[in-house]
Formats: sequence, structure tokens, C-alpha cells
Amino acid sequence: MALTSEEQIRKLEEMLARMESRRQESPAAKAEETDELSDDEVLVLTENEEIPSEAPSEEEIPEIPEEFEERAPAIEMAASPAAPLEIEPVAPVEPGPVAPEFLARAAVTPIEVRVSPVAENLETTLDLYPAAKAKESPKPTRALPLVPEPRTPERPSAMAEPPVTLPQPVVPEPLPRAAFEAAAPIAHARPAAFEGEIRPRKPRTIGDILRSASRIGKK
Amino acid sequence: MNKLKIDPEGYFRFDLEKGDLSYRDGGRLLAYPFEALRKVLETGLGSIRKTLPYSIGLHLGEECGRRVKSALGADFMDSDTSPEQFLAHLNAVLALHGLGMVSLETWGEALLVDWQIEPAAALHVVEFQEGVLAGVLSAATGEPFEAASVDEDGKSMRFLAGSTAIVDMTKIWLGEGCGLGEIVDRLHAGRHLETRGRVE
Repeated sequence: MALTSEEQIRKLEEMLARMESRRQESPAAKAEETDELSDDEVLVLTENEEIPSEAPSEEEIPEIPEEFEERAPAIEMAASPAAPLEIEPVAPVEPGPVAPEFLARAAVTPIEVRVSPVAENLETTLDLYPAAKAKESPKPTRALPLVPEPRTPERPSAMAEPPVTLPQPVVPEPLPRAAFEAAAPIAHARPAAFEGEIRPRKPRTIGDILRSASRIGKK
Repeated sequence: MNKLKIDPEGYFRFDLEKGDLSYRDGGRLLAYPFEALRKVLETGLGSIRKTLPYSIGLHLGEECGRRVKSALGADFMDSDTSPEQFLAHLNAVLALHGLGMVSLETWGEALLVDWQIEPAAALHVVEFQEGVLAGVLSAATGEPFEAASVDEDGKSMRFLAGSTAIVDMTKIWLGEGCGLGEIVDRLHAGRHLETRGRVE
């Protein structure tokens, strides 16, 4: 529902009247008449009311231009709370280029970044060369330039020693079935001399021992 | 298998009414004091100084050997009687006569008898002990056995047992300073048969 120009003018006039009345009732105006204010004379503002500044005079209030009536539809407001609020999409703000003088100043002014113990531990767990790491002196603080340097694929000084290549476990390849088949006949092949029953050596009797002792050296 | 067939309680029989001491199965005995025997053996009698102790020991040994053979069986030499069985019965008989205990060693074909010093060897009459062993082995086996003392270590005396030719040559080689190992090697090589004429 659009407001008509007469209603707008009337509302403006009412607003101006309220402002005038408030100005006359304001503590500053009262203070001109009396230095002290009673509690009843203190203006109590509600939450929605703004502290009135010095109200403009009637001469200072500009007259509503005639083209206001033409622009009125542009400030139409949704009278119904159920009506969807139309919000025009806001174009993203593109960051502007960094001022050259700012970058030049930041390049020569390093900032200190303290490495937390957590980061140190994390670095330790990833360190594969503790011996080379131990040669380095601890650096609790590091001066990092604001403008990061381009990363290089070179190894850090802590990794001066070449990595040790651990031997990979050798997984034996399964023997082909042909190998077992070829070995089977060999496993079962047995000379005829071994097919006989293997008998334990007969223990010597006392007769054998005594006879041998009395005939020792005789063929 | 190793059950002892010699009963110690019935080995001797004392007939106090007659004053007789004998084996239960026959054969008189004379309980002769050990010290008295030692004095006789040490004194000797002239030319038979060495042969008398040997003869006393030989006959005593023969009596013991017969009883071992009787306990094991007349054909024990041809049976599967183990050396342990033979030794158990031999020691039982020797112990009943107060002659101590022996053990057997085989060095190849050679047979050595290890005889404990106490009590019998305490006589320190080698000929007596050699006679006992010769009598025991000969009577038990039916083979001619002799014994020669070859070693003594303070706890026992070691004797080499064998035929007469073996024992005679062993004594000669011992006199030449040969050790037991070398003597056994020579016996296995038949050296005693080559030089048999020297001792006969």
C-alpha cells in the first residue's frame, strides 16, 4: 500500500510538531529557564526513541520537492509482515590491490612467529633423520617475512644425509606345482638296499666278550 | 632278567653241633682270618714266594667261578646272558667270600677288570688277586684265563684278563714301559702272537 503525498505531508507535519514540542520540553530548554530540574521534568526515553538532537528550525526544514511524489513508489515498504522480504543481492566486494608502499614496508619489517611445542612435536614425529636433526641448534623463534617466499623443491638442511633405505622383506614366491611333481618321484625313490628291515645291532653277550678277550688278535 | 640266583642266606651252612662250616650244596669251608692270610702272603716261602699267593688266590677263584657258572647255567656262555647278569652274580659270590666288588671294561676286544681296593685288594699282594681272577674266569667260562695288573689309582686296581699268551706279553710290555693304550693296540694288532716264542 503506497502512501499518498498528502498523507506524507501530514505525517511530516506531525513529526515536526512533535519534534518542536520535544525541543521545548527538552532539559536544555528548561535549563535556560531554571538551572535545576525536578524529577518530573526529566525526559524519559523509550527504547525506540532516539535522543533528539537539536531540532532544525522550520526554516531549515527543506520543502519536499515535487518529484518526491514520483519517487514515492521507490520507497514502498511491505505493509504486510507476511509478505516476503525482497532483498536485492549484493555484489561481492572485490579486494583491491595491495598498495605497493604497504608491501614494501612489510617486506622489510619481519614479524616474529613463535613455534608452539605442538608444532615442534609434530615436526619431530615426521623427522626421519634424528641424527641430523640433533646437530641443529634449537630455534624457539623464527623470523618469517610477511610475504612468503616461494617454496623450492630442495631438501632442508636437516635432511643433508641421504635417507636410509631399509631392506624390503622378501616374500618367497610359491613354488610352481611342476616343481612338486618333479620332486615327488625323487622323494619316493629309494635304493633296494634300504627296503629291508633295519634291525638294531644285537648287544654283545658276556659269552662274546669273554671269548673275544681270550682270543684277541686272532684273525 | 637280572634277578640274582644266589641266595646269600643259604650260601653258607653252619653246623654248630659238629663244628662244621660248609657251602649249603656241599664243600667244606675254613674261615681264615684276613690278617693271617695277609701275613702268609707277604712272608712267602722261598722260591714259591710269588707262586703261593697266586695258587691260593687261583683255587679260591676257581671255587667262586664254579658257583657263578652254576647260578647262571652251564651254557651261559652260549646263551644271551648279558654282561650285567654275569657281573651281578660274580660280585655276589665275591662279596660272600669277602673279596670285594669288581666291574668290567672292554677296550675293543680287550677285557679289563676294575677291582676295588677295599677290602680284598688291601692285601696288596698282586699275585693273589691275579690268581683269584684267573680262577674265577677260567672256572666260569671254561676258557683258560689269566690276569695281569696294569694300573692302580688309589681306589681300585685294574687288571687285563685274557689268554696266557696275552697276559704274559702284557707283563713284558709293562716292564718295557708301555702304557695301557699302547698295549691294547698291540694286542689288537696280534703282536702277542708274533712274539709268542719269547715267553714260552
